Amino acid sequence: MRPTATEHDLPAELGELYAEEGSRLWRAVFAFSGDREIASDAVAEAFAQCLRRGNEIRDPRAWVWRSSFRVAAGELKRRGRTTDLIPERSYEMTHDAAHLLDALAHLSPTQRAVLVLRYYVGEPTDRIARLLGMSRATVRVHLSRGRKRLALFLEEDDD
Amino acid sequence: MTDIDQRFRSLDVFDPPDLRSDIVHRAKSPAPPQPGLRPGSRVVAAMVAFLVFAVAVGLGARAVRDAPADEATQPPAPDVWSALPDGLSELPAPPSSRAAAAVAWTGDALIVWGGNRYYGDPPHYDDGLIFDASARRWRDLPPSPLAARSWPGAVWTGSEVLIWGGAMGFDPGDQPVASGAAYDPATATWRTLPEAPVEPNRLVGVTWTGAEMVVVGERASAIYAPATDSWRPVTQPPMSFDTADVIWTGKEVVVYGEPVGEAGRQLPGVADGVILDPITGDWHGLPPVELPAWRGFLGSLGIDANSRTMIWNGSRLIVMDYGLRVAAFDPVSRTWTSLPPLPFNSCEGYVAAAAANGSTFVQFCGELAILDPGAARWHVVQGRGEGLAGRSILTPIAARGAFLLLGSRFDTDARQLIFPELMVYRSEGQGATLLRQAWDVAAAFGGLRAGFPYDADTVAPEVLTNLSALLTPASAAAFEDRGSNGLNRLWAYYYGFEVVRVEGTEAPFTALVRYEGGDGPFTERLMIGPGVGIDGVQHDLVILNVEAA
Repeated sequence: MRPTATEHDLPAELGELYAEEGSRLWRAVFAFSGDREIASDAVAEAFAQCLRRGNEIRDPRAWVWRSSFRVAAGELKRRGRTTDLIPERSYEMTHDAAHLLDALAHLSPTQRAVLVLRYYVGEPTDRIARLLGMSRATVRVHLSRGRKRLALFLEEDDD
Repeated sequence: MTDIDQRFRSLDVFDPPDLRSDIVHRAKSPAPPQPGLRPGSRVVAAMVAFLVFAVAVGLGARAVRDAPADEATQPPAPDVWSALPDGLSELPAPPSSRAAAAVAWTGDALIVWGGNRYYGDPPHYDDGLIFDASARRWRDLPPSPLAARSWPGAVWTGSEVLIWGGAMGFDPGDQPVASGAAYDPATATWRTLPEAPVEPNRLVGVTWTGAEMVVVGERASAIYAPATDSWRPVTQPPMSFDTADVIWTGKEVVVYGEPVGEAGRQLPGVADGVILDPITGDWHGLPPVELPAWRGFLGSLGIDANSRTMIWNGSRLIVMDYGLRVAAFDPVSRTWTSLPPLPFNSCEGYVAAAAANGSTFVQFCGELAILDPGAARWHVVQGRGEGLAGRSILTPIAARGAFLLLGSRFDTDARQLIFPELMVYRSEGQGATLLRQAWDVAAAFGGLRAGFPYDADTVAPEVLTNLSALLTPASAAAFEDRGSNGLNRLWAYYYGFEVVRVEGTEAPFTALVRYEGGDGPFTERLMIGPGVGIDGVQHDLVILNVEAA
């Protein structure tokens, strides 16, 4: 049985998961959303729900990845009703990172998600399909189209 | 390591915050309260929403768009909406909001059933609401025999609402169900549908043929006949769909959307859709969309099939895509033609549409536009920054020659939908004021430019044709002469175009427009009044000049 949270710490199992996956997950969701606030909110909410649900969740790692992207997608859609998707800038952002985020912003949400999961997280098609709730063939389609489109906008930036 | 791998490695520069305290705090916080809870009753917490991931969005929207086929040509019913003025009017708000519910218009009432609170998270609901259009009143539906679920399909048969399928998990493919029921609003009673000859699988969509309900699933499909209360199996489409619109044209069932599966992709001459003859059960391919506009703007970029929308306007299938391009398919001549691009500002969102009486009504990021039969351009009902800004959901539903809009907002703190609302739009047609028509001109100009960069050598001929009816030789020259934002430069470097507002009491009107991207943003004023376009035709309204704002 998964232990409950103490006042300040995550339970050991979830704490380990956060230590192993938290940073990479946050960066992936940030690349997907282009927004720190969305990334932080999505990752925190996914882990919090995982903590609340305890043993109901059989694969916490897959669950937090899937939930984080789902929460971020929902928030992006909500914000998208009133604002453009314009990646935020920060002092730490390198030239390459800025160009990548700008180019990703031109892609559809699904294309962004599959590209980030493949090329940043390194997930195989099968896992991306399971994480995003789509078929493998669909993932391949989005990978192919997303790559072409990303390359176009990266080239444009390079020019 | 490939170039693209190296690009993504640059993300490692970002330093994530430590979220552990926040996670523990959230986990200990009670679940956010839901409005309008009644002790001892099922929660009706939120109205139709599509706050689910892209895969779910198309399916949810389909339930709403899937009005009976004859709705598209149904004449207006003065007894229902006659007391309302043309344009947009508020109706009594629903008592609560919900996401991913089944929605059906019965001819004089709107029925909403099932769904969930948000994101596909439990609880899923097993209850519903009905809006009586004549009485202008909402009330609860009687308890249904169905288990709770989200993303069910719904059709109106003329006497019953048939509700079928759906899922009880995070998305339409997660814990799908294969059961359904029929609700008769005349007797306010439910009956359970017989067991279908299909295993539970992701529901792609449903449609009503006038006699039968066609259920298309990801792995298994079937047809239900209320007259005999029986099912018959139907072969699967020759291509599989992840998300798609399922539409009855009056003669055939068209399935169009995102195909998956190698077999489907290898079908010769088939782009993204198939057509079913419901009598013979034979499937054949929908001719691929081959339009200069799509090739010119999107061909080299790839069209986002996951974000396509198709509706039936009574004579043609209208397709809209993520890049706001529009095309129409004539099922008689089997040909595609292009339509003016949607006149919306840049936004990360998805198109939702409905058709009635030959008109196509579209919502995108809170903006509304309608293309009436014979109109040369879209009429902007609501622009950005007007009354409907900030809605998370705004779902159009064809309703007796008018369009209902079911809306809601999302409260991020409480993580739920709030402020449910219902509106109705009656086409203004020729009654639109000149001021609003000036907005249409500015938005149409933006629609031709916004979205994607292009190479001037490959620009679609119809784009240039449309431009020639929007610009005079003088205003075209004025754009070209402006070094910072001439036409070509704007097309090449600026992806956003926003009509901020249009002012004036008589022509010429002034449209304040804004361009995003590149080294912008820039703002400009477009002078819009009567004049002779590049096409040599005298127009009531055309862009006469441009100046920096």
